Amino acid sequence: MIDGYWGLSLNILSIFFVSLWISLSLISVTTPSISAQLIRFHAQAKLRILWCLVILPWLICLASIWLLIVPELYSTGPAWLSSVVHWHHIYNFELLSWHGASLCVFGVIFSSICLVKLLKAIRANTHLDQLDFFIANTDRSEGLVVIESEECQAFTSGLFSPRSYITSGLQRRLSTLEKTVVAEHELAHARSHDPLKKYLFSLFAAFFRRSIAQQLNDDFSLALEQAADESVLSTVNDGALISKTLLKVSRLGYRCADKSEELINCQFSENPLSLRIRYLLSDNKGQSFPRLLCFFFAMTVTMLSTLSVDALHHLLEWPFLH
Amino acid sequence: MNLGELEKLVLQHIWNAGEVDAKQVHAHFRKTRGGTLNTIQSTLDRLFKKGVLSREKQGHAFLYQAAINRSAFIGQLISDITSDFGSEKDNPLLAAFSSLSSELDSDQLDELERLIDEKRAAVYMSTSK
Repeated sequence: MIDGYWGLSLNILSIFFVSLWISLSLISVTTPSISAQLIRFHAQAKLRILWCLVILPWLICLASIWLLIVPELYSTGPAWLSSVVHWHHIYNFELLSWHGASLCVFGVIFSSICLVKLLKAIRANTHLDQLDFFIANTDRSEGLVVIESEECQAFTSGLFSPRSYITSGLQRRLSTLEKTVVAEHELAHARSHDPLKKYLFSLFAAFFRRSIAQQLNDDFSLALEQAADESVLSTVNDGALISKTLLKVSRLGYRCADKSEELINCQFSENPLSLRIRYLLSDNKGQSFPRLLCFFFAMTVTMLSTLSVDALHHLLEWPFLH
Repeated sequence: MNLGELEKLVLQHIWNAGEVDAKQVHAHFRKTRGGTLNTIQSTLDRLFKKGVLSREKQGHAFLYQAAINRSAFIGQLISDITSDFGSEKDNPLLAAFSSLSSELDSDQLDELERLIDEKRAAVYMSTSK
């Protein structure tokens, strides 16, 4: 038995992990339907909704800790609150109990997710550093680093200092206007630090179930691309030109990668390229961020999650040694 | 493929110099970087094992040359950086202009092309009125 402030700290950690697990499960249930509704929103609104979804479980954890711990510690707050949600033995933590077991399991899962994400970032950064080394002293075109290669690619990468690249193979095949579109798009990614945002988002999303995490990452990537497309639209002011360029670069990408256009198929209406072009061509870009709806959603999930932490606590006390 | 700092320098040198043995590489780096012949020999050996260099025995020494040219190597690096984009192994540090993971067949691409042309025609009609 661990008593005193160490016991309190472990109890807080225990509440944190149980609350995280419950809120992730609750949000996972709603994610597919929210994802299906995202098409109705403006690119920036989509990004905000997705950020809310992945950050909410962590905020709920803090709220749960506050609601469960503060009444126990200070004997303040309304009496009805402590009768609804409470955490017994706040200063005592028994390691050989379900609290200890769940803390160990969550600790291992938490550390392994963080470690895997860190290794991925290091690997991606190593590849980029290597590329930078071998293309040192190359030309720049419209702010983009030109890579001497027959590949047809344009991309932005780098965690803290994002750089935009274009291959000479792609550059040769594009007209001046098309090159401007590609450059503006990539520079928009670099300006808004999209690789860093994408990495942080994927880190938060990694705590969800794999299929949900994939869905969230796909939606976020699409929203980032649409936001960058929109940034180009404010400069070039021709949605059709941007769409044509996007289509041309995609076709060139297939040819350079030597992939048959006939072999690969996916659902047309949900394809990211198709969604980006339809978004660019539409006059109505969609609704703005639904603040009120998000607020009520957050409140509901917080309430359900905190109540579930307490209920789960009592449920597990019944069959197991406390 | 992950290359160390000296491995990158040696590979770069071999692309410029062509066929070389360990002593020639050591002589090149002695002034600028220092290091022993042993270090250079093991670096060349590691690059050979990674498949970046090929070698041929000539007397007591190995003659090394690049097994992959600079352009192909850079192409491979770009593929490493971009190929997983959009897939489950998504590179989280990348934002690419177009994603190869979202391929459509040629009919679907033509359909999109038609959609763009229709939009362009509609805009032209409305501005010319």
